[in-house]
Amino acid sequence: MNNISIAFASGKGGTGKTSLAANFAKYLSQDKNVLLSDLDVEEPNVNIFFPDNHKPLKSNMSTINIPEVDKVKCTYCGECAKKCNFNAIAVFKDRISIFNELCKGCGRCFNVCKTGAIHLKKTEIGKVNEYSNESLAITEGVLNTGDIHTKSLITDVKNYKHCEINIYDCPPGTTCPMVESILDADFVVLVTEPTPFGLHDLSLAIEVVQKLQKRFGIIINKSNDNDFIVEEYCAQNGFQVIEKIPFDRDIAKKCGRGEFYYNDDSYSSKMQKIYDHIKGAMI
Amino acid sequence: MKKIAFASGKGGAGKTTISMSFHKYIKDVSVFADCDVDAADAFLLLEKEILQKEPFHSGFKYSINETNCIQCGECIASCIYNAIKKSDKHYIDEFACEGCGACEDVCQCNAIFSKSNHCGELFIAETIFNSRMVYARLVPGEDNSGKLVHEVKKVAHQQVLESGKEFLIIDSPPGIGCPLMAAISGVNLLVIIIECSQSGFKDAVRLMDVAGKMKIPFITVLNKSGLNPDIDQNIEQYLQAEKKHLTGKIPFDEEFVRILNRKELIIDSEILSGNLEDIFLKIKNIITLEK
Repeated sequence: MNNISIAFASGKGGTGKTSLAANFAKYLSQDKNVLLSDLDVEEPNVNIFFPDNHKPLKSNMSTINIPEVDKVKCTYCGECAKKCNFNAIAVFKDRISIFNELCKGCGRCFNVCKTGAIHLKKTEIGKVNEYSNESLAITEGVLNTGDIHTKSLITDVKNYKHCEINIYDCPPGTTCPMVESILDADFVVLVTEPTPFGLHDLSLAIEVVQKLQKRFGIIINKSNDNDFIVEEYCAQNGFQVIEKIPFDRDIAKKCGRGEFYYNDDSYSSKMQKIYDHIKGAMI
Repeated sequence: MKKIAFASGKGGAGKTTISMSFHKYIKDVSVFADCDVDAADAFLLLEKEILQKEPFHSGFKYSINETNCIQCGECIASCIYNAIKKSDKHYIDEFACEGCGACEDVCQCNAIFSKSNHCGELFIAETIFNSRMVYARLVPGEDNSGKLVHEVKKVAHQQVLESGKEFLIIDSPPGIGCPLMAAISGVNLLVIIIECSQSGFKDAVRLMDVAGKMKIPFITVLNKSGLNPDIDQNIEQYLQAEKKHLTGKIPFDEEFVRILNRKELIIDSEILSGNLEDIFLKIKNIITLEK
């Protein structure tokens, strides 16, 4: 099997995407080359599990193209503002304003300006950091606080994909950032918890992966005697629960500290089972 | 009228569970707004009856008219999002398309057309304790969540005014990006729920940074404390050093999940309610003093 991408996603936040993705990646990296990408760029936490990663091997600026106006060339014709679908430009009689926080960097204003008054300026939105832990490489996107160009940064982080196995730790939710994260994944692992909230958000996440026609499987994390609500839902709809990770005070403690649990026998067999399932689904 | 938002940066830190209980605590004087439009959950426990439902439109969706398209490829070159694909015909991948319309400008044969984008629904509902709540559901896979958050707040604001209430309670989305900033902008007080874990702490610090930049006053509440006392201590030392107000601590307790599974609120739990009421009283006193 060459170059596969596995995304760990969930509708609800805090279901255990990051801890599972990190444990799974670390487990697989024992005999494979693995890249773990932290795509939750608003709140990246993969590195909690890798305390030796103080300093990235490389830290690259991520940018988008924001327009700047040459006030001498500008005739205030208003064409750029008219064409901007994001309402990021306002033109008055003798004044023009650009709202960076609304601009998505599409460059349409540059294309339509007849007098060449607009030029595009690379503007930093965050960083893409690269780390290495032997056979496990890590890339991490960190959005600048106060910036809103989450999706552009996610796209940028994914440009670093290069390993035999690529694991994505995705942002929570079911909209644009989550979609961008799983867009090119070969398999999506949906991590849920057996609560009414977990189940509801799982159903929304499934709606997205089905629209995108992705292969997917479900992991019940924090599994307890309430699992039946997820299991019944999955059985009724023909979705597969790949594995369960128990609700255990000790695991909660470890995850809280950023410690791995995959090296415990019963958990390493769970990691293997998840991998075997994904491998099987790829054929 | 005063607006109070609950946020955490990290998902699953307890925002919704705590803010719903806070709503019950001051149910006679408040309206609840669920601003996590990606995955609104509060209605599962709070909603009794939907009073009003409105469609939400924002932005544009672009498509290619096959009859007019001569497959020249100009549009493909113009799209910085690589959303226009080529197979036996050209088509626009709706998930990759940002709706900027750059393709429309370069098309020589009028093959590209747009329509206004229906991206979600907004609800006004009566809750099980006869108060009002406002929430929304973004179509899964959609964009524009910041705008919909803004709309939820606007409608909820109206509800507070119309019903003569004093408080608007906002349950924020996770993260620190566009939807979060839309949720907390203009509030009188932000309650930051810090999950007592390395990631919960780190995420809360990034959120405090954003709140600081937006000049929003905030207080903090620790949740799931006691699992790793050393982490709790680190967080408390940090808050003390940074002179951030710590309003209270909610211990890690399996009871939290059991209550949720019974579809009850944590403020109804005999085990948890005492501590929670203390914290809520403090929050209420603080917001009453905030300008």
